Amino acid sequence: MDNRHSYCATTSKPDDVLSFVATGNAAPLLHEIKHALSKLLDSGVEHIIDLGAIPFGPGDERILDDVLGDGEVSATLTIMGESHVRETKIPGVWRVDHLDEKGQFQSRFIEITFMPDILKTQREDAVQGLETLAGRLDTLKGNS
Amino acid sequence: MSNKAMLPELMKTHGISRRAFMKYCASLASVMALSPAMVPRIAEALENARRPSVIWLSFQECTGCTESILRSHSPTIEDLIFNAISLDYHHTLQAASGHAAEAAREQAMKENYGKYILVVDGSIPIKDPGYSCIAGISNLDMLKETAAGAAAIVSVGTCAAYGGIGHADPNPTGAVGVSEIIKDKPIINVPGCPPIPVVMTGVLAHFLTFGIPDLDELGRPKAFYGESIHDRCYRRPFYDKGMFAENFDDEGARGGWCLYKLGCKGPITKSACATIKWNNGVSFPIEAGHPCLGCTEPDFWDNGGFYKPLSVPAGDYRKAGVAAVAGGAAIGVASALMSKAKKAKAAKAHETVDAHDLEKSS
Amino acid sequence: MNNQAFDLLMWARGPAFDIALMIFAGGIVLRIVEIFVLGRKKDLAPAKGNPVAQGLKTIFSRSVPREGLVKFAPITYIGGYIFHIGFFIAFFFFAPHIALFTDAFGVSWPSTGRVIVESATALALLALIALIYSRFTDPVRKALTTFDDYLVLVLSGLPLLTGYIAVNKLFGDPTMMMAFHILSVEALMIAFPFTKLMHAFSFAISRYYNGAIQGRKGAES
Repeated sequence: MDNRHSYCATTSKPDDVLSFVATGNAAPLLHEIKHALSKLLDSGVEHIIDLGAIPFGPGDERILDDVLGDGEVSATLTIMGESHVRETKIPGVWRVDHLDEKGQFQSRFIEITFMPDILKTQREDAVQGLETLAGRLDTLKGNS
Repeated sequence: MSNKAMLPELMKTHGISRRAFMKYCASLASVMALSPAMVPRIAEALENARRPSVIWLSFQECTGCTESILRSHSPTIEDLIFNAISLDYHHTLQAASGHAAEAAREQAMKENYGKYILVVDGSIPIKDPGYSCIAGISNLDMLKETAAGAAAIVSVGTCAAYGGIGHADPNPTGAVGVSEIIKDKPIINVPGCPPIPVVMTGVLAHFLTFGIPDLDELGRPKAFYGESIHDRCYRRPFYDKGMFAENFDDEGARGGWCLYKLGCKGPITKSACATIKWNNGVSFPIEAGHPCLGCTEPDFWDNGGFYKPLSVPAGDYRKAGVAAVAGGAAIGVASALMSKAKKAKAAKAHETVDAHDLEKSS
Repeated sequence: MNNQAFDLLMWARGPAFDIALMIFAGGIVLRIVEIFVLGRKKDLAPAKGNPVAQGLKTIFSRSVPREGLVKFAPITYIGGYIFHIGFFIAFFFFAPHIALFTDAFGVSWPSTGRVIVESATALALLALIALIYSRFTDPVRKALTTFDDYLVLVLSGLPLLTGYIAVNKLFGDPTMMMAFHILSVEALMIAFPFTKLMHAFSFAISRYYNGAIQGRKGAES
């Protein structure tokens, strides 16, 4: 991403200097989200953005949080450490944060979709679930 | 590749769900610097990947690369990768030592001949192979012997990739990187001093899933070494605005301004430090206030001084400058005096003429 | 494995710079000392005006074109101004260049941002092209131009061009382009004392002499 002609905040509070450092990448990212959202509405094509691939300063995070905000849905998945899946104040824009078992970030994504895939039950898991349920029913039958 | 347990089966035995696998693939895509659109292909590749044998050879090195990879900041990913490969020889990490260790290496080589991955850290001395030996075998011999049966070689760290610190001037041991010796095998260079942990695991993961990644002219995977630190640096706007830290405790240093003038080598250094960062993405040297040393580049140790700006001459040029000024002044005076003397001589030789003489001669 | 671009850059920053600096500094000092030691013939006539004041004034007044000359030779005057001012800004107000002066002499001054430096560079280059063009098209100027003039024009344009390419990563390996940039400056430094480039130092001396001669005669210059 071109960050040559970017701006940066030079006014800084002495106690919180770095939180204002921004690369200027937040604005183009938000535009990318906007385009993706209109594409989702037009043609149903989903889009995922890997936040780990973009240089971001603390100031950029702040802009992103301010613009997207928190929405109606927030889910915590417990799979090899937690994952947080949150819909933002902009419906159709989701934030997916994968944490490891120590609670540290593994990867962070912004998904432009009606429903993030990771929230859906995976077919393989459902197959496994069916087996488990059948097994439990057998045990139940055996007990009665 | 050997017929050891495949990753999905491993996950099933560990009670790991498909959802967890998808999360793993998503994080892996991020680590490998691949587009999130590649996640389904990563999942498919991982399902079919065999568990390869890995032999890790350490030569003239400081163990920093091994220390780094052990701190791969996503333990789950690291665990899975190390479960997905079979690390059959690594003399720092394995319990066995001496002949037992060498026997393990030989056995792994024999069982997986032509299929194993060879990981190397450290440079190889070629001036006198006796400078560095393991179990009485010189590094040079061990590398040649082990490389012969390898499917591919991963040179981890700048020493293995380009000779690194051992290769620094005056290079007393004649240290070189792997690619100077082995010419007939695919070699992936993963330089850095040390490399970023997830870059190492990311490259291994890429090799497992999609084979040898796209490499640049220095043998480095483009996904991680495609762009300079300078181009990806969050302090870049300060460079563009002409705002620089002049020393380590001035307003600029406190304000997080550009470190170019303090010797930052970011403009000529290709690495993912500015995006992937270190210590679980917490920070990287420039974010911590220190200029980049350029450790992913060949000969970074001889780049003229870590604290010298790139635009400043590397040598001790001041003496030459002073000598030139003195010499120039001396020659200038001498030349002018000679001209003056010539002029005076010419003036002396002049004959006085009057109008009559002129008339006579014409 | 060696990185040729890196090695070239290190050579440019190391031995090549030392050689260029010796020729540059030695050559300039040689020529200036020569001019001063040679001096000028004593004028025995009684002074009708102040030679020193007039000499000093002329150093500056000759930077302003005479009335009508801008219209007479617009490319030479306007192009000349733009080139000199642009080169000056790019050279003295780009932070990496200031770092060099700080390292050599311990002096530092504020740098300017990328927009100004790059605009100055681009304008200076355009002006240089215009100046070369006028030398090719104007028959009088063409006849007056020597090889030395073309060499000097090319040598002073190359650092601007390579610098612009290196900083903007327009093409080529950035490290290699940076090496080319430094080498182009070193070529300029080597040619400096032996070509008309020397005017950057000698202009003040020659203008002073001209002004002082006229001043002594009580004439304007």
